[in-house]
Amino acid sequence: QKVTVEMLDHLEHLALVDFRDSEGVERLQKAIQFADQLHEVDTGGVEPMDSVLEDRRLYLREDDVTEGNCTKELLKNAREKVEEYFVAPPGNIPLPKLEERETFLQGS
Amino acid sequence: QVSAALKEGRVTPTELCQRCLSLIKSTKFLNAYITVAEEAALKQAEESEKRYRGGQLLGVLDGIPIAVKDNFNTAGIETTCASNMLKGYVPPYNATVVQKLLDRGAVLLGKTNLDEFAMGSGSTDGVFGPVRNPWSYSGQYKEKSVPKSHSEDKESNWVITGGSSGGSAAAVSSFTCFAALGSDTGGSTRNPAAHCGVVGLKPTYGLISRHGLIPLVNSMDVPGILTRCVDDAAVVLGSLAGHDPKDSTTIQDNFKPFELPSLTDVSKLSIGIPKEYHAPGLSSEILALWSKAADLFKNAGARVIEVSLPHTRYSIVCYHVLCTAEVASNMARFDGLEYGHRSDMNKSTESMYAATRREGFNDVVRGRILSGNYFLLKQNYENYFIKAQKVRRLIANDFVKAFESGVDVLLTPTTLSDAVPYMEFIKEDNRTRSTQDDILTQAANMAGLPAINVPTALSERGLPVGLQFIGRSFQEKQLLTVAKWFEKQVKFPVIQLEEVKRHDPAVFQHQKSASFS
Repeated sequence: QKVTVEMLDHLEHLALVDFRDSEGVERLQKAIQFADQLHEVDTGGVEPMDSVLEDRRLYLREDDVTEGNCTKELLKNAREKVEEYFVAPPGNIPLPKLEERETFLQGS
Repeated sequence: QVSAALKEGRVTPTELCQRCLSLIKSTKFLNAYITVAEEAALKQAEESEKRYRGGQLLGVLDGIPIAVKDNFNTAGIETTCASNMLKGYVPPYNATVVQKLLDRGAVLLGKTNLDEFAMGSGSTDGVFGPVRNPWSYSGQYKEKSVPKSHSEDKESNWVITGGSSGGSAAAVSSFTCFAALGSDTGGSTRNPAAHCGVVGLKPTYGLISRHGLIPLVNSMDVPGILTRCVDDAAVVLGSLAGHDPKDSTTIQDNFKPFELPSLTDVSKLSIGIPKEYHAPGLSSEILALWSKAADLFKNAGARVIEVSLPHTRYSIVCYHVLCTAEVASNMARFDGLEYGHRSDMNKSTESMYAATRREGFNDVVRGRILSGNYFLLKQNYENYFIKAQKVRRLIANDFVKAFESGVDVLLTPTTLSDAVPYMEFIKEDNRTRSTQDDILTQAANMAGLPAINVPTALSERGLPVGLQFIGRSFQEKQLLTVAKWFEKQVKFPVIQLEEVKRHDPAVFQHQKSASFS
């Protein structure tokens, strides 16, 4: 089954990354087709594996502050900042809908 | 050997550093380095020299020039991951592995080239261009290559390094450094090691800290080690392994650095040959070499038996799903706010993020993010992501069973063929290539096992071919001991590179493999 335009649009919204052209869409189609091979494997009664170290206890250190105070260095790498704040454009404004956006998917 | 030379005063750290820097300049056409930290390196070399004069060495790595893949954070040195997203990013800290090397006196020459964000198997998809395999310019390759037409110049004939740690492999292979750090998620250290004729070690997951390694797949990534001989790899491993409180996925067991014994008796060894690694597309040359290697062990008295890892062919599919899913998550941090590229788009946070990511990532990265998001959708989560995790367990169990049957180490090919010419490689897209090229290396990442590529012989085209040994979890000593024995038997030839011969008849020529241990 082909992936619908709604789905592609949904993915672009979730990922905040664009398909850019038909090659990008093809890429996803092929990726799904490729992944479908997984269904050939019988995984009845098999538990999913998160980590190869699942049999060990994860190291958790004491909740003590041991380093920090590097505000200046951290801010150095940000493009837009004011005093000690990273500056972002206004939030709570959703990406424009498919019909209103300039996107490759418009034509599909 | 060079370490001994340093100790005896036959060469000084600054001389060594200068020679390497100058060789880097003459081999610029390889495009192995993204950033060369000339001033910093010379400074480190000078400090090392002071220590040598005062007899207070920091260890065997003191004064040894090394290179680091550009996806490891290095304080004060630009770290780009070969992506527009991080061009100009200068980290405020060193990755733990980098810090450890510096603490032991190693001289950091620069950052090496890779596929963008380590996604790829050719080191061809980064924004700084592809890396060229030094063997493309070797005497051995040139004498075997027949020019197809008079007008074809040698420029178009060059072969890829493999990837994604191609820059590191090329740097070690062309003698511009004595060891390099790579990363290995699906074979990214072993694949270029095989194509460039160097030793590529993927340690057990959890042995070496990933703190500071810009992550691709958190459950599979490991820092990789590239050197010109197995003993050197053991030395570097000794400096890097061990628990790091900053990386909670490193195990807490005490790690003791070891020296490799020189095995003379392999009769107590049991080598497993997994039949599924006779994958479709495996070149007859490599198949023959694999067979010859198995016979080598047999004739030396080892027990060589065929084993089966039935889920091998699903490893790549499984990897594809898990990798894209983790990538979708890991790449979410690149939004332009705190570091990296930031778009001028200012209408809203979301649109700024979207524009930044559109501008910063290449097709490969965007493609994987989108695929990953697809597999993680609520309606697909169980069928793809969870399913892949279950298949992962089956793959890991295959190995457990094989090792339980009494096998100590597995012997497999590392790649399907020798390095292909760049012009041929780019005819297929990144995913197709990765699918084909990672097939023999990926499963070790899936199961978290240690694996090493040992350069074995030259192909008919005069290019390196390597074989892979896969060991039991945390049994690096055994793995490397076997690898060292094999390396001694095969006597892989030294690369005949004009630039190297020109630069350094003294230091480099009289040493067969110009190792540092």
